[in-house]
Amino acid sequence: MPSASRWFLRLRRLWVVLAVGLLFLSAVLFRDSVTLDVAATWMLAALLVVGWTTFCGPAQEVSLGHALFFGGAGYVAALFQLRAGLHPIAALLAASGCTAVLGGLLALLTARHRGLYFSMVTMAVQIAVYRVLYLRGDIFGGEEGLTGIPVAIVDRSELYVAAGLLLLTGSLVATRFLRSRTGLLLGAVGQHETLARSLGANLTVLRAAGLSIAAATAGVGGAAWALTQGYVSPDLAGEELSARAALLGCIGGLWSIPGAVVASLGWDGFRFFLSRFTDWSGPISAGLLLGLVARPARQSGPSRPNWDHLLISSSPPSADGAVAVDETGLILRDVRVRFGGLNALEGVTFTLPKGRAIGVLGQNGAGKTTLLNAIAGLVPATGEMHWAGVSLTRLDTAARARAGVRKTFQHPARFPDFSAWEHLQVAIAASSARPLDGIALRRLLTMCEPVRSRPASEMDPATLRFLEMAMALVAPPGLLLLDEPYAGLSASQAEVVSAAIGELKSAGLTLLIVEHRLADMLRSIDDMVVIGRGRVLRAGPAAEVLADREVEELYLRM
Amino acid sequence: MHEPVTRLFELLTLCVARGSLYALIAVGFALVFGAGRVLNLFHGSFFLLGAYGAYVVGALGFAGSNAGERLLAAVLVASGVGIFALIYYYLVLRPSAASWLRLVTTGLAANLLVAEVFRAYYGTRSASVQPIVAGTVRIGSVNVLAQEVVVAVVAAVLLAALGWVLTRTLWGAAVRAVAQDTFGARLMGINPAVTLALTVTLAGALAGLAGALAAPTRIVRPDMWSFALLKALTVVIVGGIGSLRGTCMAAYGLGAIEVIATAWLGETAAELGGVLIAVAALTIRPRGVVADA
Amino acid sequence: MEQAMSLLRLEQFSVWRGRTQVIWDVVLSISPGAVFALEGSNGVGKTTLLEGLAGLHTTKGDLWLRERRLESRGTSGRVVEGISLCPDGRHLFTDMTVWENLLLGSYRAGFAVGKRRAQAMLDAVPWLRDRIRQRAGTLSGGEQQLVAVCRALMSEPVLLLLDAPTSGLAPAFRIQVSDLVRQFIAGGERAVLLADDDEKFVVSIASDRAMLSGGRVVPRS
Repeated sequence: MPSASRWFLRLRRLWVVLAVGLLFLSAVLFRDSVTLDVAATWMLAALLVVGWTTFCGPAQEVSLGHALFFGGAGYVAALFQLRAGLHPIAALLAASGCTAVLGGLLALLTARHRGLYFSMVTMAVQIAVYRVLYLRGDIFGGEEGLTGIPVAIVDRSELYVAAGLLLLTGSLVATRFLRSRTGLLLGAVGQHETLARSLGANLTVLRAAGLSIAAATAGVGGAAWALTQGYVSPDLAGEELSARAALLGCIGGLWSIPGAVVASLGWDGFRFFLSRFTDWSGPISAGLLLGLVARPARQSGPSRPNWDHLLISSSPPSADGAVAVDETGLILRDVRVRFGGLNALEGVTFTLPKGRAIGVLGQNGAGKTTLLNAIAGLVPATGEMHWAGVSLTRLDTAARARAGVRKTFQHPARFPDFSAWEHLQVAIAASSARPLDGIALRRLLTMCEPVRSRPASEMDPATLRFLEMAMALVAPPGLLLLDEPYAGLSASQAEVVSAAIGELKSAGLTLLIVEHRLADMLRSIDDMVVIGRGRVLRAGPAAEVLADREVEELYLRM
Repeated sequence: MHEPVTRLFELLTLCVARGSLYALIAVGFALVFGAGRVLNLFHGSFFLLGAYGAYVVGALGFAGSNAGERLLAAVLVASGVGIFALIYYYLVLRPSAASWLRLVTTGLAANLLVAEVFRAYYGTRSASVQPIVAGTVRIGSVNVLAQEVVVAVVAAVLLAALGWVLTRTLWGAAVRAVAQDTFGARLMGINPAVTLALTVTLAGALAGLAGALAAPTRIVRPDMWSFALLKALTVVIVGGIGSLRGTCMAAYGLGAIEVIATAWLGETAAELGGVLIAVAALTIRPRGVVADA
Repeated sequence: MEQAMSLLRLEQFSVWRGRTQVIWDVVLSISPGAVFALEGSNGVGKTTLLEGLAGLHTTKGDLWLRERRLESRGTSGRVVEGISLCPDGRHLFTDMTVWENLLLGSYRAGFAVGKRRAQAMLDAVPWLRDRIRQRAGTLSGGEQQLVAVCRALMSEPVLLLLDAPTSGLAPAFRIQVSDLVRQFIAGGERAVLLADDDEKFVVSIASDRAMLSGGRVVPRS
């Protein structure tokens, strides 16, 4: 582990201690109870922004309705206290538990929504909740909300310290989450969903986990508000609070919990300070928000957590469900793919024994990539597909990846913000295989060394190819589908890739390689299959297939 | 006790009026999104500005003494909002258009800013606006708020005119072309940026007019922007992006469903229903609309 | 020796796609009445060069059209000057009728002029008459290609840029595209710059050929 991050980790513990110390110190210094009370509300409100950042940062979504968890938890806690007479702490826990469940439900509801659609659904759900809170005056107190909740902590300095500790705890939990395997994978999903799925990441579970924690964090803040301020109103679950949370979260930096806290506290403090001097503190601080988000320069690289500790974790996560149990290899029977009116693949049937490598040859548009996509689950296909005795037809891409079937991409796919190192960490986190730590991997890493900590969006195609092969080596699947692995590489670069493929083969992987560069492909394969117009034209040992006159004609025309 | 037929008539007029309102709000939003793939979250504030504009004009005594003058005042307010929209486009929208995240956040922040300005100036007291045509009107045997009739008529005229412009003029064809295939439109020598600017102006004016016309029958509050925005988003998603006819049909459909639901099930259920429609539409049609930055 | 007037002359012409330079210091000359075919492997930059000529990308270097240097930068300027691109993938307005597509082709000339030109186009290409009210999206691939070429001709260009006009086209439509091209250059005043991989089509119609390789133009026999 690099020494710099070790220092940072050490300092990280120190910062927590510093923060707690500062908290107690300021409580003693500022005995003025009004300021302490107001500051306490800021800290509880900051939990809303922390919660927002916990999900929306990694997942790269903008939730426009996060305050529904904040206000909602407040109402739940209030009702528990008022109607059921629960102890404040029990009410707090119950409320945050409820919001965690709500968060999970929202994740399920938005399972297929991304980007704009996600934002709109969150906004719609929040408005629905708001309206219900507003209109059902009999239960929720209408516009006034619920008042007269017995205040849990009367002394204002105690309240200040308690709020501070809550904020600290929430922030630590959130940071812990972002540093975990789930946080890493959620970040991968947010950047390139298809690539993450093809590595085996389970989207639904990841998003549900993230949103639950995000909701619970905000919920703690809201419940604590109700229990310590003595009231809760519909505005605490309103659009403006949600919008503000989203804006402050963006300003604070998408992966940064400290940033979220600072942004939220800073803005609230700024507004309070201004309100002492002018009635226009609202517009001025809103204008400040606008100015901050309208800045043309994007923040240079959000401060992501350090995931190095994942590499040294003792037991790799277990794969779920279908794991390869026998030696039968890849079996395809009558696989068909239709796009609109076009038959891209018609009745493809062949068998690839385990541990062998087969090359796929064919003209442009013959269906080679479609074949790989069908096996990997990226396009819908009919027919039978089995890998190592496991039927693939009912599994989606991520499930197939977990069962050992993985595909690389024709145009190298990458996580734009992640560095090369982080790519490897994602591959390892998403898989359960043991890395092939051999010469080939070392060479690939050496080739990636110049850009090791730079984001993948700055890497040239050759380096991305190396990265792709390295990811296959650190998390070797059972069946690897390579889509034009040599495209665009120079001779020496192709040699490195060739060595990597050789090592994968000798480790027992089964390989399916689509490639135009015949000489390069021949170095790695045993057998060959020729695809033409969606059908298998020839199949057999490479030398035999190439000697075939028809294939020679076909190939000369390519 | 009303006869069922009378009640039906009342409901019908309300449906048309509500639908017209939503259509005026949503059509501009749809056009802007079609013309430049630009999601203008500030669109809700155009509605708000129109409503407050009507209030200010009335409070300052410029509203005039008869229906015609008041209508003219509303149109002037709408034009003002349109010009404001153009300025907003050049200052905020165009620079942010490259990044989806910036687009969303600046739109939100601008909404908050405008809401705060009105809150600071007018406090929490809600503003009331004089209707253009006061009192009720008898249609057949039904008493209907005259204002609602005015909304329906004005909207119908405007939407028809807009439809004519879009389908029968070259400029309208250019707007549609940019929406369908921006690359192709550029090849024809059409300047998408200019088209977008004009479309935003139009959108602002229409939403502003909707605000000015709706103000007399509603409570004017600083947080009206989210109401208008959610309606616009819902209608555009349900109606299909890029289809003006679809947007209009969705607007009237949504209005009708809301009015009927309110009549039968009460306000809470109607609000919930309107939102559930939004969520359902989003779930059934989750097409990837916005390309991530 | 008398220097024949060239229709298009490029000197040290470079094109950037975004921030990447794709075309380097190209020198090219096309004479009037010529069909100049540009060949090269996939992804080498033929489309970028054509798009650069049409004003879609950042360019550097001199562009001489009919011995007049073009200063205009954007697409609308180029269209007015007389350069029209029929792009790869056609980019027709699929929800609009063929008539509307044609009219938009002469957008810069205005409605009245456009109507007149469209009528002339119908006379020159009778095949269009039956499909004038059809929505462009409902036409077959070959029909769409023909409409796209006609649309590109609506701005009455002097230089027609054709990018992969025959990709995926049945032979019957290839012949019709050839006919349109021949009709266009008849009279010797105009020229066509063609980028296509189809050897047969290129041989049948091109008067000059060159390779684009490594961002530079290399003449062929």
